[in-house]
Amino acid sequence: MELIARSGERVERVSVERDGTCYRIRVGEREHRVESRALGPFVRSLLVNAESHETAVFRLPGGAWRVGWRGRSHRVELVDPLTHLAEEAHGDSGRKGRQVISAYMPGRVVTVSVAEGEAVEAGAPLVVLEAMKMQNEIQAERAGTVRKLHVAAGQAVEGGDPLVELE
Amino acid sequence: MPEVERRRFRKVLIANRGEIAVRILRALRELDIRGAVIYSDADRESLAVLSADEAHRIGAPPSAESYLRMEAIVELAVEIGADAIHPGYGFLAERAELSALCRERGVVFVGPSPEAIAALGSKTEARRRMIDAGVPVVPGSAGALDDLDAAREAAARAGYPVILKASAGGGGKGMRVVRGERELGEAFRLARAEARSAFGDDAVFLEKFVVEPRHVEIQLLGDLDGKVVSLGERECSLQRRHQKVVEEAPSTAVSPELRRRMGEAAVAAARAVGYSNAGTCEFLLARSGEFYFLEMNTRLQVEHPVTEMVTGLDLVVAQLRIAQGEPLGPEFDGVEPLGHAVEVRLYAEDPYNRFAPSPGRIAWLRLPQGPGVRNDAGVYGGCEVPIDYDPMLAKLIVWGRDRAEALRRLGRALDELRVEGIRTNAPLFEALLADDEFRRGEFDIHWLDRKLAAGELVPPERGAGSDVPILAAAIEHFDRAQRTAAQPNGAPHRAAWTGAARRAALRSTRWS
Repeated sequence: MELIARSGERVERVSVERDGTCYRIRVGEREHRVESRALGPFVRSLLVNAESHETAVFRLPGGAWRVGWRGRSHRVELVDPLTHLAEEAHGDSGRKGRQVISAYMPGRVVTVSVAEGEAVEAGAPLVVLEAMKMQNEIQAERAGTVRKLHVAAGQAVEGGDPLVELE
Repeated sequence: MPEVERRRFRKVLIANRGEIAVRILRALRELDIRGAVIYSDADRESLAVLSADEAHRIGAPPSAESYLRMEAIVELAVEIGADAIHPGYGFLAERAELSALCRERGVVFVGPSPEAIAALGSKTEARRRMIDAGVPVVPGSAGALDDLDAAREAAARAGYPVILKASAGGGGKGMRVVRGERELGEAFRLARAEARSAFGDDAVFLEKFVVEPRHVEIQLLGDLDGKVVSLGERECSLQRRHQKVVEEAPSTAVSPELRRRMGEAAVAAARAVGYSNAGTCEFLLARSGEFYFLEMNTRLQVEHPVTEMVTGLDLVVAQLRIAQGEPLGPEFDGVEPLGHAVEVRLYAEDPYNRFAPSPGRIAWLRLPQGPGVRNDAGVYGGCEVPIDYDPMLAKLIVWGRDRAEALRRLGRALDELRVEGIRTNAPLFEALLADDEFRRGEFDIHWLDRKLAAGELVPPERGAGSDVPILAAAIEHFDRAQRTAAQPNGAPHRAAWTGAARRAALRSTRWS
């Protein structure tokens, strides 16, 4: 199976094939022989060329993977090479357009600091969420215009629920 | 002095939740006392409920409807035949009314008398008592300031900079630092207004502002016969927004001679109010070595394990024995710290996202073990961390013969720790271990906030550029694709099955 892996700044060609009880995985120019055991619904013990690694892999909405490893969290996208090419051809336009800001935790909306149609600067407060007795301000990552508000003050939200759409 | 009544507890009700409820249950089990807990609807599946002998529902998730229902909790204790209530820390632990209500209903309160809690609960009253007892306090006004003239006079006597504080306050609310006399008028007006809106009481007092102090506290135990002992200090200067994050014992800033003097002052403070059971005397320690009484915490502290690790004493067992009327034995006399202990508070918060809370289900948990490592946890793998309470998951405590060994063990323990499914602040401790000032023990109460604000505490990169995360994701991706390929009609099949299940569920609701 041929794939493109995208993780942070990295873009790598990946090929995976099964080899008996092991996987033979090529990442870029490096070839790894990996023996894998599932220890639970998310956790795997990997022996990568005999080096021991404990990983936890979660599927994110939209199909990307979140990998917990050595106390850090890594987001890894694996896509078909043709899909990758098509997305590259579109350039960054997809990322520059609408941005949906979602709740990164379940909680209650305390305040909504913006109105639809309002222009905001990068770093401007959008929404204050409360969870675990702590209030957290969610800010605009970049300047833009508020296209849609999905929540009102007092509303309960789940992690991943859309809050504000910026354009 | 009236004869102290000695009794043996058969059952104790814990008016708390989380790791401290589990901690208290451990002590009860060792003393062969039945342990009962209360739980809110959010905590039905908590480790405390699983570990308890009895668990009683107390209400809905919000604290005001559950863990703060004082009358209901005391009534429950009476109803289930509990001999005593242990309040833990937080929630109702420092409410004089709870201690009084317990007394009224014939239930032992595992803590000091309502009179002692009340005397220490008011900052101005506590300060007056401390001055009378010869305990050093920060120079400043003896009580609430009547007007600006009184403030001016008190500030001149204490010497600038000074800090204005709400008499009924805590947690930084209503506090204002004043650098010179010209700022005093405006600051006095604002501090009063803040105090009124936060606490419904506009009384404020003033103190000398100690620059870059440490927070060093003395652990005390007092029995019902009036014996009070000091168990030495804890260094608690590492705080993020007034919240302790790392605590250790002993303090790198305290010599044996200073320990003795601070211990004597703390014992005098406790005696001044007739204090019994476990308590903590908090001091500000200036660079000069001068120390000043801050306040007395009239309960067990979160960080009590570091004292336990360097003294070999069990503070919760001691609390229960004292409450049963037992006198403090010779093992509590002349206690000196052995080795060094460090505690880190593991919170469900994301250090890469401004410490935002990260509640949810813990998918995988493995706590560190081995030499010199202790975990006081309130969670287990698979449990849900509710959004309704403090985000502390566990305390990780290490002990070593000296600080260097303790820190090496902390590094090793953090390496062993596995928490998946939610984010934790563990990377912050890795960043601390990599910091030279922390390693040398050179910090004050503002140091951590300063370092974080300056972006100087960056967790060490781990595995940047490694292929392992890609390999892990690629295997999941590959297996998932193989499974789908193996069942060409997989998706429709599943849909048909869920459809059938839904129809069955509908039928059963209709028929039952």
